[in-house]
Amino acid sequence: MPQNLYPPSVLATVAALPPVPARPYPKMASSTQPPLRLSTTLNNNNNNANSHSTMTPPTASSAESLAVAAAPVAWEDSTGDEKRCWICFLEEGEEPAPPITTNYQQQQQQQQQQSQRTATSPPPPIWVRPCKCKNSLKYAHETCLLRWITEKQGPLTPDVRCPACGHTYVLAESRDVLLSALTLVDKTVAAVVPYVTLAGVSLAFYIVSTTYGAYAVMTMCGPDVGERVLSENNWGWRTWVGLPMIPISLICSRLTAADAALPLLPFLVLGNDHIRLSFPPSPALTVCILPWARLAYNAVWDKLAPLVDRFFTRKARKQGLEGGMSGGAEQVEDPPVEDGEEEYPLARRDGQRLVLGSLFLPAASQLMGTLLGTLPYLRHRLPSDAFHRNVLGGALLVLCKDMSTAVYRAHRKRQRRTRRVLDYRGD
Amino acid sequence: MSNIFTKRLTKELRDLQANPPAGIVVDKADDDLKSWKVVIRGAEGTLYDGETFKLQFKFSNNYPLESPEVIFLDNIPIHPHIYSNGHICLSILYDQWSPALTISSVCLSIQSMLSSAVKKERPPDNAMYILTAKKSPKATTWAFHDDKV
Repeated sequence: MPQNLYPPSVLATVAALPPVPARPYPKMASSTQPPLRLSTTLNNNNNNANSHSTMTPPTASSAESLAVAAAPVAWEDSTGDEKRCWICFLEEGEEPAPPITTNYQQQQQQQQQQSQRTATSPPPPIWVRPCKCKNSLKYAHETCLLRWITEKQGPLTPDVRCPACGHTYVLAESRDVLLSALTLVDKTVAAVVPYVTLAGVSLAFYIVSTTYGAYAVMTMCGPDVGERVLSENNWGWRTWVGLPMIPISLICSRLTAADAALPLLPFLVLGNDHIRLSFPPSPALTVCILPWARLAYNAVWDKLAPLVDRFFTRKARKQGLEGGMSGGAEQVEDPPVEDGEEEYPLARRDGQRLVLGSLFLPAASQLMGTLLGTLPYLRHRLPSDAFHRNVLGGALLVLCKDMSTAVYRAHRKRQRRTRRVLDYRGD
Repeated sequence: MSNIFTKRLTKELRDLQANPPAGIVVDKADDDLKSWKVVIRGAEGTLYDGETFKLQFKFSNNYPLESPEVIFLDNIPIHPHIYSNGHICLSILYDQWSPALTISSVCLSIQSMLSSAVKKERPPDNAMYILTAKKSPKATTWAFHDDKV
């Protein structure tokens, strides 16, 4: 019992009282230890902590409430004899307390009732003194302090300190095997979840890429050859690696960053067995040649593009002069600025366009190849199988696309140069 | 919970009205005690001598475990820790809050913050802050780096 909490007169009263039987522990299902309590420096005897109703002798409460009513105490100057919770600011006796009786027998009856937890009257609040603080910060209701600790406690900050003195509150709580095991499970699940999510997303991406790869093979090779390429006999690790690489390579083919890797990739994936020099090149050989063809084409186009651009710009300019585009402008001069020195807003290059454009390439190539196959003049001069026709179609498509982009760019430039601001002619 | 809320705020209101600290007056407290207006006066001999400012306190049901939301209203003092939308950069209003603090002690802290200013100026990041800040200053993640003022 924290005897130094009470003035000597109260202690004398308490000493005069016959001993009060301590309440037994409330029974706990899976633990033999006492329930959650704040262990305080003064009060480390569990018997006392649990039989708290004995700590507040009726004489002390009534005397204190009288004193408080007579002369309100300014708490900053208090000596610490009165208890006030530093969280809810209620003083001892102000809380909803069980009715106070002076008769000892009545009191004993009341305590028996409380020990049975008849719940009609709330149990008296438990006071704790958890840290080094003095005066108005000395005491708190256990329930208030536990709420504050819960409020401050986070997953990363299990320890809570007193905001005034910095003392870490010491908590005692029940532990049992089942709870520890479940906590371990909880923590393990929390740790594993991000990795499982990542694995799931990767797997989904892999499956989608592989499916796309198979679709691209079927589209480019046509049903007969496609069936053969994807048949179970040919299905090995190279297929598992190669098919998902198809969409990735297609997207990368639009980026100069992949220039170094793409030409080597088919050799690594297809291996030596499939690549034979022949004419017309076999599908495997074609796939190996394509990245090199891409590099060569890009190099040529880089040299050619300025010439094409200039050609179309001049042509467009002439058309503009003849066609009388100069509605508001009196004359269209030859601009002194050389081509390519000015920045023009051109067709947007964004990620969506890049990805979609490259993923639609097989379908567009097939369309183009089929078109080529139906032209009467070309029908007999082209290779008869679908794959080569489609590859040619794709190549033609890329060329057409680059040309149209160049024309578009040239005309945009030309249009921008004819831009004039018109004077206001209202008055 | 709300029981503690009501009892504690009733107590604080009674205490503030009975013995108000110098230069601190409760202007208005709502009947449900959730919103208060407190007028504070700049201390004598400081830059804000004679000026009065209105503070708005808003309490959640979790008071006093959770800090009140405190902002200046109307006439907002020009001070290096007070933004022009009334938000106050003061650690005890946010992560350094303790249930042991009261409305009275918060007002005294703000008064002393005003008193220790050496120059009337807005915080350097004022323009940026008032563009991006939420309505409640408690939604802001504050960085406290000035222990002097």
